[in-house]
Amino acid sequence: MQFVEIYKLKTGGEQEVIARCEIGDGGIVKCLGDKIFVSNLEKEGIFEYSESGRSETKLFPKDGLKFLEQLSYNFKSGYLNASDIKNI
Amino acid sequence: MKFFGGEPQHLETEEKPHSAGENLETQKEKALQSLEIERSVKLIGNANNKRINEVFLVELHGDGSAIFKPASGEKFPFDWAGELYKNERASYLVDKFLGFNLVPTTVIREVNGEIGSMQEFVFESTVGLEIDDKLLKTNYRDALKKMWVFDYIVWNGDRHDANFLVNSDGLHAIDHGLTFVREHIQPSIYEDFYDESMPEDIIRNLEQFSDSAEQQNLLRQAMLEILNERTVDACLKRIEFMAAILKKYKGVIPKSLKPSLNY
Repeated sequence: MQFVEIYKLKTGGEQEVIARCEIGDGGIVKCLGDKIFVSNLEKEGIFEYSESGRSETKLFPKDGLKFLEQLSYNFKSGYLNASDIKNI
Repeated sequence: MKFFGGEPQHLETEEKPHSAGENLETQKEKALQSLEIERSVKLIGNANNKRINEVFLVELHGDGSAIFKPASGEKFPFDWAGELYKNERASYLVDKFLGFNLVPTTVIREVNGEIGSMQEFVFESTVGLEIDDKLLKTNYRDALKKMWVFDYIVWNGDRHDANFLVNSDGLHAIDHGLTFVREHIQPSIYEDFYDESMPEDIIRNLEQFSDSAEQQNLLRQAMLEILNERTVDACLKRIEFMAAILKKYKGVIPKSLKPSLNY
């Protein structure tokens, strides 16, 4: 199963996982974690980035692997970072 | 994973918020520029992803922490790799001169032989995406309006609710690598506020800046150290244009003007 972890940089300097998004049955992504964060993520989606920058195309959990792949482009500030796609 | 022991430290050099037109190097800028780096750790996430830009958390000797983004770690977008750290600094300069107080203090600095942007770490903060959307737009409406105007001025190609923060000091806009983007790329804003009254302070600050040839020249010279002339002059024109709109329409940006908010 493929998944991505999203880390929050805390005041003390540590990073903790605040959400985990994984591909479930049917190829749809399911996110678990901080309630408001996950709700906003699923409701508002994320942007799609390409080599030339960001498009206004939005991706949602139903977009499956593409959504997972784009998480690390959306969360890269340091305060919120997304991992590479991991496998278990 | 915990990077640093002990209590976190704010950048202790307390300063009043910027007034429009402040041009001197601030105490915080000096601190970020010169304090010895005690520790530097690559953050998880960016560390493992070779396609995404690297980000480090650095601990400054005796005073505070910072986010460091080296130019060599810029891998995305490929068109801009190696330039993003300059945009981070340029965005801060615009914010400083306009007195918007949105962008944490940002300098360009070398760390372990790598040049990049060094930005004051914002403590006790919550990312926009962690906040209920309705609450955000109610409680921080004025700050979001200010950020909207700011994003037009710096022609921000990448604003969303994961690159601004909120804490007891208010709203902080971060992640300005994709500002001053190409002319054909429209700014990507978080939210627009056409036909709503803009906060008094940004109306005043923009007018004040537009009335001061000296301040405009100082900002121009500071930005020319890192960006090309065409980009800098386009930015200054946008400031002038925005100030004129707010003056003419009594603090409101009419939706009918949307097509004219150009590069």
